[in-house]
Amino acid sequence: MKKVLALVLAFAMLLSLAGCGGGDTNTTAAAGGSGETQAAGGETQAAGGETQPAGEDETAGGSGAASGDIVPGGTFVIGAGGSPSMFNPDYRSDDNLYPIAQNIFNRLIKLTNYDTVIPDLAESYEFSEDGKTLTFHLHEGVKWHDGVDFTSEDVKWTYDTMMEEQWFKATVLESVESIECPDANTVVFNLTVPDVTIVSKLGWYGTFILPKHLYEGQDAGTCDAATKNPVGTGPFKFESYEVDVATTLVKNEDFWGDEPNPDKLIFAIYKDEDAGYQAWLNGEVDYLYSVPVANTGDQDNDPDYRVFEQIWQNRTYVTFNFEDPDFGKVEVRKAVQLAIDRPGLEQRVGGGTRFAADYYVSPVQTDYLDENYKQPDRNIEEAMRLLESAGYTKDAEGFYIHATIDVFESGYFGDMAQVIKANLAEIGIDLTVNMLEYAAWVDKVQTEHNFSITALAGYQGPDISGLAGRIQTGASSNVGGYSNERVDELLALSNVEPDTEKRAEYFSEIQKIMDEEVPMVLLLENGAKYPVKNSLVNTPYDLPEKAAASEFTYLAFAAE
Amino acid sequence: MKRYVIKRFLTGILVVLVSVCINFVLIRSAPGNPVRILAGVDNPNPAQIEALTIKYGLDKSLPEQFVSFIVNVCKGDFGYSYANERPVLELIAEKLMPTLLLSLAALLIAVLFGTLLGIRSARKSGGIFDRLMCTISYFFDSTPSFWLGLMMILIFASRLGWFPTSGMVNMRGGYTGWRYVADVAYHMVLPVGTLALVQFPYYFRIARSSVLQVMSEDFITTLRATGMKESRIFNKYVLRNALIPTVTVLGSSLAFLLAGSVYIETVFSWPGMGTLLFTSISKRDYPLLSGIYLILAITVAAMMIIVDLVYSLIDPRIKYE
Amino acid sequence: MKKKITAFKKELGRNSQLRTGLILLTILLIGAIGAPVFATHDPFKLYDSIRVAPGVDGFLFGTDNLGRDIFSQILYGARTSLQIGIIAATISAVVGTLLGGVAGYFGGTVDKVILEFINIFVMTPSFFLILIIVAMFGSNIRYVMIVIGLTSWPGNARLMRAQAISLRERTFVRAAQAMGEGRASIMFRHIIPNGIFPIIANTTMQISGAILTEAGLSFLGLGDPNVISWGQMISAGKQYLVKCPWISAIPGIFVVVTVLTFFMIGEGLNRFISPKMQSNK
Repeated sequence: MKKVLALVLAFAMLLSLAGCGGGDTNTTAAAGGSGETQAAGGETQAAGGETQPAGEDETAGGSGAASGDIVPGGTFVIGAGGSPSMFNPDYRSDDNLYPIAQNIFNRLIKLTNYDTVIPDLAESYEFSEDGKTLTFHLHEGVKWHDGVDFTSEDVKWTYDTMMEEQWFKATVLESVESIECPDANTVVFNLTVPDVTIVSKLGWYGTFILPKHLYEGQDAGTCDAATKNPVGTGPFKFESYEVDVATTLVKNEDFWGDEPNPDKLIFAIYKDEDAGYQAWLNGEVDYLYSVPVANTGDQDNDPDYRVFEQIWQNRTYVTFNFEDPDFGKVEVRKAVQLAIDRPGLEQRVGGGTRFAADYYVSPVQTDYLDENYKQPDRNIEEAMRLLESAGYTKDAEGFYIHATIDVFESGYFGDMAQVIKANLAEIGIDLTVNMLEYAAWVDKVQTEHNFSITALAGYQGPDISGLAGRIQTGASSNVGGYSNERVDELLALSNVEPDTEKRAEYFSEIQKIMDEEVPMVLLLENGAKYPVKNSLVNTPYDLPEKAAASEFTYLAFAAE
Repeated sequence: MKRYVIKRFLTGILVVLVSVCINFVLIRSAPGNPVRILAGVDNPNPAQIEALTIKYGLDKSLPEQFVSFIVNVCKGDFGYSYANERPVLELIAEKLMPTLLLSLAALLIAVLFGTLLGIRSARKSGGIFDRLMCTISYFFDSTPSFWLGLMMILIFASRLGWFPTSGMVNMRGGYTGWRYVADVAYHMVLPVGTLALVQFPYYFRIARSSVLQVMSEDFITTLRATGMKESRIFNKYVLRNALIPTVTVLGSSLAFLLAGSVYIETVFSWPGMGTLLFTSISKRDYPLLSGIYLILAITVAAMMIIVDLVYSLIDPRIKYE
Repeated sequence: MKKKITAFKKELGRNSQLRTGLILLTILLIGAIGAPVFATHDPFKLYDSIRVAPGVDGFLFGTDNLGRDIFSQILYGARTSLQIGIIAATISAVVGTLLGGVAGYFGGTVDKVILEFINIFVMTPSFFLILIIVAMFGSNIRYVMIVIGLTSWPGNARLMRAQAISLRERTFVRAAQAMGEGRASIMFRHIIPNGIFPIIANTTMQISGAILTEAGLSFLGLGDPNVISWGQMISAGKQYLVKCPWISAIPGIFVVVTVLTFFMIGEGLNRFISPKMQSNK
């Protein structure tokens, strides 16, 4: 039986190394919170096995720069894209809070920028032989910022409340039957099925441990700790927040882990991406969330910078309303797939951080990608032939179909809609672009399903199972209402299958079905090209073995 | 006079009420639901949505909501911002100051320089200085402010590095006292400069044309005939009469100025009302939106009434109806 | 009327502002109307030369961030900008003339009510109203035109009211009244035609204002994505300001020139109406 345990553990490791990633927040919306952040979401994401620090800077970055090379202490300005809406990091999805939360709070385990799960509050964890019991051993001597001792009861309370009140990542705990606390430093999760995806998900987003003593008996959305005075166990304490200006954190002198280097962290808000970039170039900002598309690659050959490149399970795609009289037809969807010039789109809006998508699953998922199922190359004649075979004829203006594409305002989405419009015009589909503000888009597309075509992007979670959120019947990001019983069945099977090869078979069949039914046209694989100034060392990109994706415990200025 | 003041005051209240009413209906009938935005797209919880809807009173009819809004406002309670979980008035107070600082500083500079240059131009109208100034003022009048702001950042902040690109204070500095004031002033140079540049042509032209107009009037000719010195005529008679139009437009230009500052705040990441307005639009933060609009309406109306009264004081020809 | 035309011709000879303005306007109109003829490329088509500088690969003004021909977009964009400016200003002129005319000519209670109405509108922060409407209801170019038009009429109404008050005492109006002509008929046949001139001048200026407002809204990301407009071209090139400055700079120059054109015409007209004072706005 120990073998089984070993296998499961090995799988969990593998999962953390190859399959998962961690980081961001976004599911449907590129810009869940603010509507302004780029779909790729900057550094808050981590994913993919392909990440690599730029080679030449191994010494400066890779080794994390020995403490002798740094200036101790200091105030660091982090350029953020928008204002956090509250300080309960588990309550609702908020891209602007997520990076801040990683410095105030802790999770049981945390995901790095390099797709690995590393210990956080839990020093270690193990699955039972049947895979249905997951035990976490917590770090000792941890205190909340207000001096109260942290215990396993905090963990239990956080996750119990999350499930009970259905906070936004309650889905992570779908397979959890109950949580027990045998002692102050041990937490046991009893699972209904041997869920192989839970560990990576717990290290991701919306799973920070909250102080029971401040939350219990209060409204988790409006109590003082959730709105004004967040108290965590993390390396930094909350100091102040000024709306639309900045969130300021100060060093937690009593931190239970490695001593934080920065005295102060200021998350300065730049709603305009270009303004943030200029401020960063000008030295007003030390560390930037994301670089505007137009400026990506500017530092590639600059000796003063080291550049990190990443690609994630984060994909931009077009999806359809399956109840639409036109786009409900598979021929029309296939025609759209044939019409869009994916490499052309990449050239126009990619900026070197996005790549044309060819397959139905992310290329990051090397174990699961089945190369037999590939999206066809552009073919205008074939697309028009498909439309005619479906009974369409051209009207006086030369169009088979007139329709509207609804997209929300975010980064390159406006430009992308223009490219799709121009591409579809060539096969005789006339698109009117309807640019909506995010709020209006949620109403029209997600709630009322009043649309024909829309575009989405966003991080799909660390594991291949994130695909479910996009194609499973009734999933929250499945805005078009795609539904296929066999796909649902295969997804459920894959969730409890620890064996990668068997899992791959399930996903292969899913890809086959996607190829036949075209529930979405995948356009771009999203990643980032991330420049860091050499005057700044020990960033989360430099220290994959110690720091979470946006954790700045080790951040330091390099000594001259 | 007293009757006139009261009448203007009542009109002001009516104006504010009407525009707030229009605004109230508009923002609530627009697509987008604040509660759904709060709940997020990721696993939105129906129970949570319902609880929030009731909590914010969004389940009630529009007229009911309006009445309770007005009643609360009269009590001085502007409500709670949905997205920020803070009192609306507190948020607005925090952001109104930076906007007023920006707008009023720009207004002061624009009026001062515009008027002085306008007077100077008019004294020798048709001369080189006049022609040059006319051309320059036309140019800045036709230039979109956001465009000018972008250019200022590019040249003076990014290329030359003389000024900070954006923001109101040096985040790293943590200054207090006079250092803080100096730091804010330093950050104000580019945004205020931009705003003043696009505003000054207006005052330039008003001053110039009213000086020209007064100079051509009969009583000036008469004065000239008496042999009075030209400089004395100008300083004593022309200037005073020529400045009246400038005062009259000050009130109405404040609304214009606040509008202009939205662009400037966006370009320079200035944490003011414009930025707050945008955030509250995207979050459909009804109480905050209504609050911002109400404060703007009151500010604009109050300024216009004050200017009206000042105007009637300095120009005795105005009759009170 | 003939006398006026001769006077106008004479004025053109002296009034360099009006002359330059009208010449520029003619060029703009020719460009806008003849866009399909002059355009060297399809303005919507995405070419493979992406972000090329003016003159490269046969693109007179270069291409934008998506590979569209800027020269052809400028021509088609002129249509949008002129359309927005003219329609919005016309709405404003019509509403302003009617309300102002009625108030001034009828006088009494009607005048008082309309005057209060005008005061209310003057005091409304209209830009914020436009912003909220466009941001929340979607950026359709028709909304933009209508909303701008419906919020900018008070100036015209005030001008027309003043005109009507002075005209109603004139002999020819009195004569018409004496002959039993109806009030409405007098308004449309005598008051408005004779008092319209300052409104035309003001409307010309408002065209500039509307064009600038549209450019501003586009800059804030609130432009209509289904039409080509200069404002949107500027904002599309914003990211590339340093690397490919022509993307924003060229439409920017056109906005400035067009706005200037209408300013000059407006000022020129004002000078024509009242040669003594240069400008009364």
